[in-house]
Amino acid sequence: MAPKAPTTWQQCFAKASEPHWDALLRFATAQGLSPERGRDALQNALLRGLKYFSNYAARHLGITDADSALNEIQLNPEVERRFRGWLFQVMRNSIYDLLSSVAKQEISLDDATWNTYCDQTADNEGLGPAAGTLGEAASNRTEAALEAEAEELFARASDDKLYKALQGLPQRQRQILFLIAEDHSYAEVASILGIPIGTVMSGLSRALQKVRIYLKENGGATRGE
Amino acid sequence: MAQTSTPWRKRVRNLMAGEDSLSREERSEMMNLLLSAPTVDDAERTSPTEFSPKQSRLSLCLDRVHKTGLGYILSAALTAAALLLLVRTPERGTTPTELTSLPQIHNASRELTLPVMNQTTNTGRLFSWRGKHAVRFVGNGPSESWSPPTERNGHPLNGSLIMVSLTDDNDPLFTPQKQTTRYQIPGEEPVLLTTWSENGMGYALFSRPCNGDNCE
Repeated sequence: MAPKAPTTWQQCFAKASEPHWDALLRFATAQGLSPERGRDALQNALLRGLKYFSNYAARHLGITDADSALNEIQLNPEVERRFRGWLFQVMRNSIYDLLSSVAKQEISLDDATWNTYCDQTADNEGLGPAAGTLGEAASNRTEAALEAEAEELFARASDDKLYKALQGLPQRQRQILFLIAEDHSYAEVASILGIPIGTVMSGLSRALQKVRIYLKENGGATRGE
Repeated sequence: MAQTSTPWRKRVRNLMAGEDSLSREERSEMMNLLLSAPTVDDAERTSPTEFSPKQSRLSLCLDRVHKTGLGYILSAALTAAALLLLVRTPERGTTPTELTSLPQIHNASRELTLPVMNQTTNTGRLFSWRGKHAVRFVGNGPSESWSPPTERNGHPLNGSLIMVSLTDDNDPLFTPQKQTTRYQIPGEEPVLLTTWSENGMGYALFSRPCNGDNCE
């Protein structure tokens, strides 16, 4: 019997990434890309990811052959999470490329500019005058406190009001909230977005406060009304 | 700490991004695309001469001259001619170390067709190749970025501007490029002239090929 042909990097990457395609697509949609452009971003990200996948596996996972990489990603939850985080990082940059094209801006593509871009978006998308003054004490909260607050807030809000409140969040806070909602840990969100974990927590806290204020001002605090 | 999916997360996820997902057909297409797409390993397996057929043929010719014993004078003359040819060829105007690592743009083996944000056309091209600094021809960009805002067969026309971005090819995270710069392209087919680095930044210069009519 002929020996089994070794897995190629293409096969490995396709199989390993496939379970995350929908989440990556939703990530793009949540950033404001249309479904079509979200698919463009996904395709671009996957092609980029594939191209450098073997490099990533060797340097970050310590794996130099595709068979082992696929086994580790499929069987080792920790490796799988790291791989997923890397995919989201690649996707973030792909989304950024599209967003910057859409904005028709020639800008430096470093993290500082990305933050500026997000801040500008935040200015445009703020939820009223209170939006810019919130969250100073947010970074002092614990993950458990934030989780409890989110659970309580989202449990009693109506869908339509909550949707509007989420759409009104600044870009960066939307990113943070969405990535956490995609079951990434706070540390993973920090890694994906290239920001400190404290910024993730303060961003989430600010987002929750803005949602709370919006719901309070717009009478959407009771689900099902 | 790994998070577990809680009701609020699921609700936020659905509200922010909807239930959009790839169809079976899209999924199949994506899978096929990935299975046939190149990786860095594929690029490394490609020898430098494959990127430069002109140079490869010249080397073969010189080898034959040596083997047939026509003598050092003839080979020296051919070598001198080859050097002159290299000097006159736009994409050779760089240092030897860069020459070995930078293929010509129109011979770049990794050429992908991508949708771009272009209001006048629906297609664009992404050229990429490996080098001292990876240089990436991002594509055609918004039509406002072009002067004139036209293209033909994926190549910018005379006077077009292209956007070149630079990144560390060894960065598996694809950190967004440190700088984006526009370069004037005087010819229909942009040809990489040279790349260089200053203060940790990479730069690239393009020109059109000399085809007999436009040789200066």
